[in-house]
Amino acid sequence: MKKTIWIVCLLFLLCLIILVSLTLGKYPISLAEICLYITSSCGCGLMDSERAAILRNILLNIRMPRILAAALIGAALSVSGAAFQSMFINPLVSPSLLGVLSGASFGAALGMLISGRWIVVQASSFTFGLLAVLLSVTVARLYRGDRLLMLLLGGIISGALFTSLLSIVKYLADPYSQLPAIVYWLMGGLSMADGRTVLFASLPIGLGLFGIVLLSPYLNILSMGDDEAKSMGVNVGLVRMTLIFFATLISALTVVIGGMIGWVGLIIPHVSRMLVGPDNRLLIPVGALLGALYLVVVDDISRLLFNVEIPLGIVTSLVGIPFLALVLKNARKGWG
Amino acid sequence: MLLQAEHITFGYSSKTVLHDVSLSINKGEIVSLLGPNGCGKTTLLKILLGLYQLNNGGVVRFEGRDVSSTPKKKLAQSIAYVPQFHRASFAYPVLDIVLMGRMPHKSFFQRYSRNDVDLAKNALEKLSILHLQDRPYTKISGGERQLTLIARAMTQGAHTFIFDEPANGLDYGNQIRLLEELINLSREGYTFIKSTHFPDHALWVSDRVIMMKQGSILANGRSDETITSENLFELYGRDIDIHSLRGNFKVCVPNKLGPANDSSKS
Repeated sequence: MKKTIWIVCLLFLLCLIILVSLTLGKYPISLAEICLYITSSCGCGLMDSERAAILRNILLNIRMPRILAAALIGAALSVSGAAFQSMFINPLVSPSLLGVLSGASFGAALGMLISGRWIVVQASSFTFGLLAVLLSVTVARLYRGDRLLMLLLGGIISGALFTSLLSIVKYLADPYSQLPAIVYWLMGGLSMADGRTVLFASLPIGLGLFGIVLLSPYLNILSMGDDEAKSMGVNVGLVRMTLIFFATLISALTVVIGGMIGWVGLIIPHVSRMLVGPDNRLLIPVGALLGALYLVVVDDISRLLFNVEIPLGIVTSLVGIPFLALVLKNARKGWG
Repeated sequence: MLLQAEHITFGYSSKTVLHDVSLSINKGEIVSLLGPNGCGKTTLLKILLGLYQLNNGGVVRFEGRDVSSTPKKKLAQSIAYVPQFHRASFAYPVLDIVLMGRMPHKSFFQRYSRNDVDLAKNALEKLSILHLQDRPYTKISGGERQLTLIARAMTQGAHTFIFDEPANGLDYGNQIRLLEELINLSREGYTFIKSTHFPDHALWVSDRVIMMKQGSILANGRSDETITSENLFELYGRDIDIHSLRGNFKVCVPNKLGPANDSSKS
């Protein structure tokens, strides 16, 4: 009961925010006009066709993809963060734990260096994100011992490797054209988010989110530790690898859409836990909705606050860091 | 014969931890595993639970079936692991922790039902901690956490409980409370295998004691016959006297408490 109330409320709020965000921008469109446009495109229209064409272009081709991108990225980062935190029994880990973001950054930079075509950048970013996690898991498997600790160490090794590879690419990049592109991309932002990419990525992201929601009762048990989970009949290795796969998939895809957007995967699960408690069956869906809400709002800020758009990743950090400092006082409520 | 381990030799990479260990547990027994730190108690318990793949021979049977080939979910419905109470990272309510015990009874898509919640509440009720059901697990005392984990094992539907040093870190009152609960539950037919660092506890509640030293079994027999000064000296290297109080009630008392290094040489 409590579960449905939370989810329905947040879903309603998210729809509202999306509608409001559609009105925001350089070209003024009122909420009433958007409603009119929606009804008219449903068939019962009384809208001037020239005006409708302008609205279609602005709403469907420019604003909507960007808002959806923000929502998808927020949900994906938040859910993968929450999943990693539960499975590594540590409320302070983020989706970057196993090196996925470092790998994806390197991949994107490499793509810009060798080709510059957007599709190549995206493909390369995604591939190297997955490769980085694969490397962490492989390194962890080489040694015996505490599985969680080994995975953490594997993540550190893989993250460090791809960070230094990224430096090489930056060094080799043309300082007048390629280097700025790489640097801007690393700051994260949605100005490049186009409808096709968003549509293309939404399917696997949706699949990953759904998979993690399905596995959420297992996340609870994994957070009790391996031996206990095993003693309750859970196939720990298989379940954890499946979860890592889903969490990696969705966070690598966020990088493909919007570059490096930090802090969301750490802060939002944290706030969700303070709101609804640590039970992943509720935490995961609430985290997804809250993450989507948060990033849509932050993206609005990033494109409207100043005349020039600020990269989204910078805003999420600037908002996230003081926020974390503030909630640290209350933090133990969720996990102390 | 409920649980049986035959000729278990086990090691991690280069080090052998258990040498040819054999033992058997009968239904309804309370068996204590005594031994110094690092003698292989925990490893043995985890092998009995089927958590480790045996790599150097031996077999563990539960009700006659080889544990390694029994489906883990099925095994979990019969044997439960009660770890030492821990400082959990996430503040799950007590009831949620106990409910996790229903997991082995669920298929992948099944969720907890009303019946599961009732089972969990019954277990809490039986241990008289139902009033804690909504409290965060992180905010209750060590003794209450240990009872919560026992409630989870009961909710699991298991009748054989494997405890790893359940009394560790509990205050004196909670230690006794724990022992009382063990006696109550064993009267209902539950079987307990527990490792402990307290020979007294073994004397008070255990039917049988298994003593381990350096990965081998040193002694295995009725508690009052096995916990002797000689065996305790062999285990811990200290002179310990066994005193009888009030007829059959026995306690262990160090022979003397001298300055460090003194007692082992004398």
